[in-house]
Amino acid sequence: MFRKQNRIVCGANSYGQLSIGNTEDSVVPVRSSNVEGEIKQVTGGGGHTAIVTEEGKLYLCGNNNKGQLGLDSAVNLHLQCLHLPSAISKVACGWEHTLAITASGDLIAWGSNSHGQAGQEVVSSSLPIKLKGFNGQPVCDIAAGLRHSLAVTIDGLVWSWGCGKKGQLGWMEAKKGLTYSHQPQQVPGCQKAHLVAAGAYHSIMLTVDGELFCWGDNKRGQMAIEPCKDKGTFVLDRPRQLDLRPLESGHRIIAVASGWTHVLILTDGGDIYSWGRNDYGQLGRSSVCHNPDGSPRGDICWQIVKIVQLNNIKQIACGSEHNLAVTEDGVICSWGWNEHGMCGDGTTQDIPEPKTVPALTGVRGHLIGSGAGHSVVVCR
Amino acid sequence: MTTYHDEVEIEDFEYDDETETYYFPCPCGDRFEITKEDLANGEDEATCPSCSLIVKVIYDIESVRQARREHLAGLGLSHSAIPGGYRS
Repeated sequence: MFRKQNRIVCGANSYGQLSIGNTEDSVVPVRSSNVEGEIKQVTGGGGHTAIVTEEGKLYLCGNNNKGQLGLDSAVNLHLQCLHLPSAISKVACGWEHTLAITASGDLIAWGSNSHGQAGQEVVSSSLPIKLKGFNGQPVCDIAAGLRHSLAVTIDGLVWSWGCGKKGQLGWMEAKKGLTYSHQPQQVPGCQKAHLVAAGAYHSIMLTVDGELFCWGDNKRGQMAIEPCKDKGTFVLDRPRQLDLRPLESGHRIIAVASGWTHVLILTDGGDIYSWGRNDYGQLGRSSVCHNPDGSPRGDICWQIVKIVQLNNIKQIACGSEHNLAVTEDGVICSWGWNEHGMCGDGTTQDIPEPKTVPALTGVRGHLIGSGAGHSVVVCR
Repeated sequence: MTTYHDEVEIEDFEYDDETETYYFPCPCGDRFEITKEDLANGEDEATCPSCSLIVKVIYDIESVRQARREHLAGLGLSHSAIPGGYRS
């Protein structure tokens, strides 16, 4: 039986990202090693997992091939506390890099810097370094894509750095030769930012007024607009405001989560809406889009549509191609790609519509988080 | 017909000199891989050792072969050592 503060994990485990004492995938949820103190946030990158406690301690495990665990060792590592000079308030994991905000609003980064995503001048570094810039303003939110990074400063501006080849930086001209930068630059047209989210090659910003903007790759309709080469909508290299009329009136967006090529939003009514890629059931619903010839377009859906099975949702999390949601009552649901058992239902069959994780029916879920191919649930 | 998870340009892969292999992130957390030799042989599918997903590699075979010719010439080997021919 899972108890209070237990961390329960499932899915891909090639690098020990589940921290269960081996590197075997787990298709059923199992207990992972404990951390000291109350957990505040859980998330993951390609092959690593990061946990922040209420006290501001940062725990990491899994793949350290590029120093993404902040330790000078090229091996996979069990869960351990990264000793930093200041407390951490939030962490974000890219494919092989890690970003964190300190209690005083500094942004520190480490791991792979192959495309400047760690904001450094070396190829990769396990040494957490404070990033300069941001007009000297404290950072209040962060997000990391495969090879790019985003930050929000308390004055409501958005900053980006790393790979910009598919427009994901929002300021780099994709076709002008420059494809990446390690220096954070302000994303034009973004003000009053509240939070950011990052897909593999796209970026999303929610304003304090509940408006949603996105930029970057649109190959799978993740910009909520039909991807059309002739109309130049395969890539949007500047932020575009989304039309939120599909949302039930009177409700505001309170959270945004992004998979590699699909997006979820959560409203204050506890509803989830989805759009983007759907060939592994990522959207938790059928596509409503059509090809120019009128035939159904099943693999992607660029229209923002509610997932009707889900309500009373408290938190959402996206892996690369799978999703987790927890209700106000602590019920854990999952859907999407399931080849490594990341949906936790004991099978490796993809789940096209959200369902309750059977092994967790007697558990009250408190927090959820996800890496590319693995899932983490914290019980209360 | 193979269903590809994605199509990825070779320049977006990370190359490892030691293993002479190109790598690209796989959604499972592992990496798609294809060797330099595979590319020179006209192979264009990068596979993941941990899962069933496959990506199609977009590249110009002539530039790969040219680079290989230059590499082999540098090692003092003849052009005939180059594996050739497209595979259908």
